[in-house]
Amino acid sequence: MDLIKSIAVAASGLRSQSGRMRVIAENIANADSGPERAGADPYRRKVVSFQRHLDRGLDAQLVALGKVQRDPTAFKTKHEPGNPAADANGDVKMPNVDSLVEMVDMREAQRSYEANLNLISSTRRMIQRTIDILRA
Amino acid sequence: MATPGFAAGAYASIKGLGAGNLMKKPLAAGGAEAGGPDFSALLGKALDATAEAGRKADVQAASVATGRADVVDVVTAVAESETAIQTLVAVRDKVIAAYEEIMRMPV
Amino acid sequence: MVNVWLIRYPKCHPFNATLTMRPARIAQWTGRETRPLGAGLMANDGSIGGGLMQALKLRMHYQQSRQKVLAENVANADSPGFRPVDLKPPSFDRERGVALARTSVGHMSLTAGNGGFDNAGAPRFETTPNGNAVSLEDEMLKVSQNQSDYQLAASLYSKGLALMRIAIGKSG
Repeated sequence: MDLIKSIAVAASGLRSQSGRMRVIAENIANADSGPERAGADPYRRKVVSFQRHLDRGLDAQLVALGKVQRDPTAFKTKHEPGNPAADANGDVKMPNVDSLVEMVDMREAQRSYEANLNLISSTRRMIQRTIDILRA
Repeated sequence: MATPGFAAGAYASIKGLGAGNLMKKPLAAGGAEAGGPDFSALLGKALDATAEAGRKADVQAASVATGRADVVDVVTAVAESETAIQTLVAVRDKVIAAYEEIMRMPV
Repeated sequence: MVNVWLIRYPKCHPFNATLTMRPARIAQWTGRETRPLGAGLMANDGSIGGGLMQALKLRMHYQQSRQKVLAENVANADSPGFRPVDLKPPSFDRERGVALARTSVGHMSLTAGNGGFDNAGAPRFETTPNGNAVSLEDEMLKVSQNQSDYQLAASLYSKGLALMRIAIGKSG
């Protein structure tokens, strides 16, 4: 039973990490999305949070993505007087997305994803070895 | 209805049938043979163990059917019941061979 | 009747010795004590293969549960405040031939208040600011070790059964 539960736990990890990847992709894609009109805010960076929750049916601690929240840090500014959304000084607010941080985050997500995948394949091999007892 | 429990139970039922009389010690030798389990007791235990293994394999197979199976439990129970029945069958064959050997002796 | 025949013609014992002979006679012929553990096809308490097979089975159960615990560690590698947990291996009592495992598995349950301790002995230095202390490399190392241990126990178990079949004289 526990072997099959391990696969369920790792699957929840896969789901969470791929959700995290999706949010990172959104951040990277919108790294240059300035405000639509003067006075509006640009794209605000999204942040994921992980939550563990005890699944009573499986009796295992699964992981799930919490609500996607917005990063409260201040927007960057770019001096571009020609932009229709520029304020009085000619500054345009730009999204608070740092590409380097997103790349590092992406690599972390990939590493965790692969760790969960390895665990699933390892568990599968254990199950196959068990059934081979009957075959021999 | 060829479940492992059925097969193992078929042999265990021999115990109650009076075949145990064949394996009883001769009455006079009681004192000299004391100190260890005798053959009838060993055979009885083997029959019980086989029936128990067969029953356990049945329970595990039922749990597979309902979907709440522990793969280690199922595999070990089935493998052990298979070994137990093979053991019993081998003993049965040898007992029959020994019996026939004895019956062939000129008295 | 069969008993007397066996004693009179000791060379022609067609049965497996441990099934038919009394322990005293086995010691007389082989010159050594019969082992209490895993000595025969059916041990005195009726378990198939004796204590050794049961111990291997228990070991497999332990590896199985540990795999689940390690899976939780890996999946929660980014959850804030999560501490990695591990299972204590079952202890094997030689005299009784029975492992005491189940109690320790229960004690290391994850519903414990502080999440349990990693008893490998190495202190965990890596605690991220959000309180998460899982090191993915360590966990994957434990997973691969767990997997190979499990495969070893399963192989030994199936080899034990195969040896029993040889003793019975089965060719298939």
